[in-house]
Amino acid sequence: MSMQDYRDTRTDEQILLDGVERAISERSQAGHADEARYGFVARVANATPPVNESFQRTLRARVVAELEKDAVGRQATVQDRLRTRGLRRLSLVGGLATILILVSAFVLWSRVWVWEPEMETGAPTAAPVAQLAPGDVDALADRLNGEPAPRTVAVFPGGYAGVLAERVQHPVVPLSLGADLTPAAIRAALGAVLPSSGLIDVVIVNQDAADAVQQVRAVLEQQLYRLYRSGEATTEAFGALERNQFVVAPKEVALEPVGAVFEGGIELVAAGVLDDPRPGEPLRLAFDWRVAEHVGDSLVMFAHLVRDGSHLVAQRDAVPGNGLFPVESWEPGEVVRDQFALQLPPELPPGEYEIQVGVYSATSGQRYRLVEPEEEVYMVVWRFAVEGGDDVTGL
Amino acid sequence: MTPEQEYEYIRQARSDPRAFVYLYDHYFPRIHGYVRYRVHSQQDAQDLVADVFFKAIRGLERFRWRKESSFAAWLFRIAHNLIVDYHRQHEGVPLSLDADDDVPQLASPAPLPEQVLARRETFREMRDLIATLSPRRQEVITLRFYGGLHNNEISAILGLDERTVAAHLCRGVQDLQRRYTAERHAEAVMEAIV
Repeated sequence: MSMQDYRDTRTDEQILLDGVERAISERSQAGHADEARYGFVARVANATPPVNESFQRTLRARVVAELEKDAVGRQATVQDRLRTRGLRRLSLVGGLATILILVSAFVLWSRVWVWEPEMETGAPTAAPVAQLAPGDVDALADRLNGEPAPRTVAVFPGGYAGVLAERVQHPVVPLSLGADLTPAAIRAALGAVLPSSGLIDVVIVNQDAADAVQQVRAVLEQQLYRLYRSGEATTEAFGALERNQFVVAPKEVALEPVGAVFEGGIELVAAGVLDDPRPGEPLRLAFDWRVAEHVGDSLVMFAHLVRDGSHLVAQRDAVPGNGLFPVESWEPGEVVRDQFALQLPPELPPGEYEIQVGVYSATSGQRYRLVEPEEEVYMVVWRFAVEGGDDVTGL
Repeated sequence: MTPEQEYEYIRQARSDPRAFVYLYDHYFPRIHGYVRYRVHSQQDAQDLVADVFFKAIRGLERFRWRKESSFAAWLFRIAHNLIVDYHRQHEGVPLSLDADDDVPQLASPAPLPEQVLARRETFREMRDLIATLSPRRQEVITLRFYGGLHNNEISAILGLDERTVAAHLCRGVQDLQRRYTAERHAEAVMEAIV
C-alpha cells in the first residue's frame, strides 16, 4: 500500500466540519474540547456562556408550576366537553327517562367533582393566605430573613409558596406534586426545585393531606442532609407552618467500610464525612447501619464531634431519619442509611478533633458497647487537627 | 438523553408535568447558550429563555413527533422566532454591554472563582467576535456551537439548503479565526510599543 492510499481526500470544508463535530461532541461529553487537538474550533466550542444557576432553578420551578396548572385546566376542559356532549344527547330523549338520566348523571358528576381535589395532593384550591395566620407567616418570614447564609426555601404544598415569597428575602420555590405520591415521583418533584449545593429550608404546611406530608418527609430525610445546629431544634413550628433545615446532598457519596459491631448485633457498616470541616459551615455525615436480628429497644444513634477527647463541639442524638426510620422497624440484614449535617461553630479552636459514633437506649439512656473491634461505647470514624488560624489537617 | 427517552418524555409530559423537567434540564443549557449569544442583555436573554419554555409548554399538545431531531428543531424554532421578534423590536437600540451584566446573582460576598471569571471573559471575547459576522452567519454559528444543533436541523429552522448552512459555518469559523488572529496580533504590537 503506497503513502498515497493514506492521503486525506476530504475537502478543507469537510475537514473543518468534522473538527466542529468532534469538538462539540467532546465538549458535550467531557465539558471541554481539547484546544491542542481541535485548535480554534475548540476555542469557539468552549466559549459557552456562563449560566446563572439561580435563574435556571427558578425557571424550572415556574415551568413545573405552569405545567401543573395546565394539567388541571385540561382536566376541567375534558369534563366540560363530556358534560356538554352528554346534555346534547340527552335532549333528544324525552320524558321521564331524560330526567332520570339527568339526575343520575348530575349525582355522578357531582361526586367526581367533589372527590377530585382529594385525588390531588391536598394542595389548597382556595387562596391559601386566608387559611394561614398572618402572625405565623410573618414570624417564619422574620426567622428566615434573619438567616445571613444564603438558602433556598421550598414550600410544600406548593400553593403556599406565593405567601412566603412576598415576605422572604431568600428565593422561594413551590414543591408541587401531582396525584402520584410514590417516592420516585416526590424525588423528581424535589429534584426540580433543588439547588445544586448549599442550604435548603423546607417549609411544610400542616393543614391537611397528612399522608402526603408523611411521604414527603420520608423522601426529604433520604434525599437531603438534615441540619443540626447547637442549641436549636431541627424543626421549628410557626402555627401550621413547620420549618425544616437541610443541606443539599452531593451527587455521589462514597462511604468507607467500618464494620464496627455493637451489642445486640447492631453494626455500623460504613461511614462517610463529606466535607472538609470549616468554622461556621455544615459538616455532612452519612452512616450505613445494619441489624443482625430484630431490635426491640428504642434506640438513638449519636454522632459527637469532640475536641481533645473531652470538649463536645457539635452533636446529633436522634432516631434515624429524624424519627421516621426507627431501628425497631429495620429488617435484619437490611442496610439503612442515616445521613445528616452538623453545623460547626463559628470558631474551631486549635486541637485534635474526632467524630465519635454510637448507640444508646432511648428509654434507659444506657450506651451499647462495642463488641468488635474493642469494648468501647463509641466508634471513632474520623479525626482531624486544627492548628492556629483554623488550618485543618486530616489525621 | 437517547432519542427513545426523549420520545417517551415528550409523550409523558402531556399528562405528567414532571416528565417535562427532564426535557427542560436537557435543553436549558443549549437554549440558554444560543439565546445568550444572540441577545446581549442578560436580563433580556433570561426573559427570552423563559418565553421559549413557556411557549413550548403551551404548544406541546400540538407538537407532532416526526423524526429524532424534530423536538430540538421545534424548540429552537420557537427560540429563533422570539429572537427575530426581539431584534425587530429593538432595531436601532444600542446593545447593552454592561461590564457587570453577566455577574451571577449570588447573595454570597465570596469572590468569584478564577475559573468562573475566565469562562466569563472567554464568553465575552467570543460574543464580541461573533457580533462582527453577518446576521445569517451569527445564527448558524450560535445554533451549531451553543445550541448543539446539526446542520440538517439548522437548515430546517432557517429555511436554508443544508449545503448553504455548511458553507456559512465554514466561512463563519474562518472569519472568526482571522479576526481573532488579527486582534491578537494588534494587541502584541501595542504591547511591544508600550
